[in-house]
Amino acid sequence: MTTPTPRSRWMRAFAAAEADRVLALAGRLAAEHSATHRSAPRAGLALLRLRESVMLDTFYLGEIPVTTARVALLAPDGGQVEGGSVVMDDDVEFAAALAVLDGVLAHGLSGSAEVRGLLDEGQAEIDRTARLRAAMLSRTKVDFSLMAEAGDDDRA
Amino acid sequence: MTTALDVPAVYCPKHRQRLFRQLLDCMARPGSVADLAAWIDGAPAALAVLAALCDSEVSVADQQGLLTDGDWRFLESPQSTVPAARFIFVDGATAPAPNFEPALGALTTPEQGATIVIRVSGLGTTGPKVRLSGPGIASHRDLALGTLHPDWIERRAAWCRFFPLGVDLILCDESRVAALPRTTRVARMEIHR
Amino acid sequence: MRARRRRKPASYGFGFLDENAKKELRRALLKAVAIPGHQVPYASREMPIARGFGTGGLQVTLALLGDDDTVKVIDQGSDVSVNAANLRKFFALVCPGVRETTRTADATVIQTRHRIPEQRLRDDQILVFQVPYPDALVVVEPSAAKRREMHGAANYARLWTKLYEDMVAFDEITISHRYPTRIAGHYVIDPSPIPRWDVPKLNMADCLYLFGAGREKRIYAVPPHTPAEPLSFSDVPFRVEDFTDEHGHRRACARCRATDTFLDELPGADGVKTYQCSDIDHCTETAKAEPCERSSKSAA
Repeated sequence: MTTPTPRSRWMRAFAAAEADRVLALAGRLAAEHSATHRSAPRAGLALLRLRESVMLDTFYLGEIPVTTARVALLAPDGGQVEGGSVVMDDDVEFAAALAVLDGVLAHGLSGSAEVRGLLDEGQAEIDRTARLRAAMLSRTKVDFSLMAEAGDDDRA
Repeated sequence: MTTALDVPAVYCPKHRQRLFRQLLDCMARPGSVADLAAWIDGAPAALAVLAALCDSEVSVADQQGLLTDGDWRFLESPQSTVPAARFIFVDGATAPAPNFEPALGALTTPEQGATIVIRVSGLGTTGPKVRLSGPGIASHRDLALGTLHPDWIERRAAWCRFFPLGVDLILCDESRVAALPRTTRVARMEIHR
Repeated sequence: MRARRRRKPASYGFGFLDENAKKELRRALLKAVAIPGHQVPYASREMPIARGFGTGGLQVTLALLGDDDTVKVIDQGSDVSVNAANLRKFFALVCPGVRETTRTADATVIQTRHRIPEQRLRDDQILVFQVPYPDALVVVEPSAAKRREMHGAANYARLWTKLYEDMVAFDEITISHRYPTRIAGHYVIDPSPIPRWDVPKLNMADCLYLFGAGREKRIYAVPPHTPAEPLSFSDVPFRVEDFTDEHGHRRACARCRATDTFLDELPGADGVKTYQCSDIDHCTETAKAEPCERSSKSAA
């Protein structure tokens, strides 16, 4: 791994890892660190706002499912630390699991190494997909200079 | 996955639906007492009422600090003052302060009159009895008000004097609830010990 | 992200509406019951059926239903019309656990378009009306703001004038359905396009009546044991539909022979009209019960 994945991208990486292993690990760590919900996890719809590229006006592309969770974990010093998650999904259980992993990794609780492993696997999967897409994109690129040489009358 | 991550019962959508139906029935039949014990897992009934109805869209006033930080986090409601709040949570054992003035709504928007959730104990079993009549009640229904301070009934009468303006009360003890919507006429009966 | 093998596909939560939408509806419903007849505004959501096809009733029902409910849907008294069948299927789809029924007696929640079942509803039943036009004052006042003021002050003088003008012009009140009805001595409601026959059932009922108008974004209610009086003059009493034939006999249902129900007129191919109960479930139940009743009557 070259650079560590920043926390803001953890959710994406966890979501790209194998779901069953994410849930199994989170379940074990939740029990180990006595995880509880800090607020009610919520599944709902959010409006996806985009900026169009011509007039740079914002517009709503559509609704997406968004689930949030906030958990508290028991730290070794007896205090409480928090983990949170916001995922594009409607599965409350999954969001809670990611919140547990987030908390464990962010605060270096026992089990972080395993969480890090899952995170790296997910990140590798994202990188692989990105490379694949980049390759596909490059094949669709058009070289305009070649078109001009082919004889475009409008170009004086 | 793990049982450690269970959401408190009163915040589960399924329980919330059951709680709401009980409340709807109570509101439609003023003075009838419903036991919520099966759906609240030991949480106070008053908290269950707030959990069933409140979210980030409605303000809650809690002058006496009856709710914990955790309760507020789960409710997600903005905290507010008594005159501005849609929901007011109070302990009914003490009389309302003279400056306690809840929103009564307006002629065109009576639904903006506050819902006051009042915590008492011994609802339906102890305390002064009142005789209720009005919409939702076939002839009359008697209700023992538990530890509710009698001033609440006096003040309520003043708030609800000009229908459709008024407030709607939801009385709660440990696990039971009863509602007194603004249309209910309340007459004092004998005092029980 | 393909790698995350989903355990279950994304789906709608129980009751289709998200929890915040349900909470808002529930708050509106409680206020509607607390202020009988008052139209409480709410944020009507987009539903997978078009506005005007019962979205108001649908949202109210979805806010009510739990997995221990039994739901019945009627359209003009029929459980099998397209509208009713579609809504019932929708409930079954988005509310797993909810049982469907066509029997009035078995239902805990009944959604209806334009009828109240003949059988008296019990105190553990809720009837949800689909309402196209929630405001009885719309015929006399175009401004919604003014109508709200008139409702708040229970100022129905202009509605009375309209009824009086009807009397002068036609010798009777010409309203056949959506009959303006006064609830608990204050608000006048539009009880949705139920026939006059059903209006008296609103008065001092055992069950709770809830009204949802999706397009107009209003919810109102008539609680049980609440006076509901159709507007009428002391010398011109309110009358329900008259089903007497040319010989002065009360017409009977062609199917179940009942003489105490609201009848639909069915033109036959030969031009001869027949009459049948509009409430199909009640008709079926009566037809089932009738043989022994008739034999006991003839024996007496």
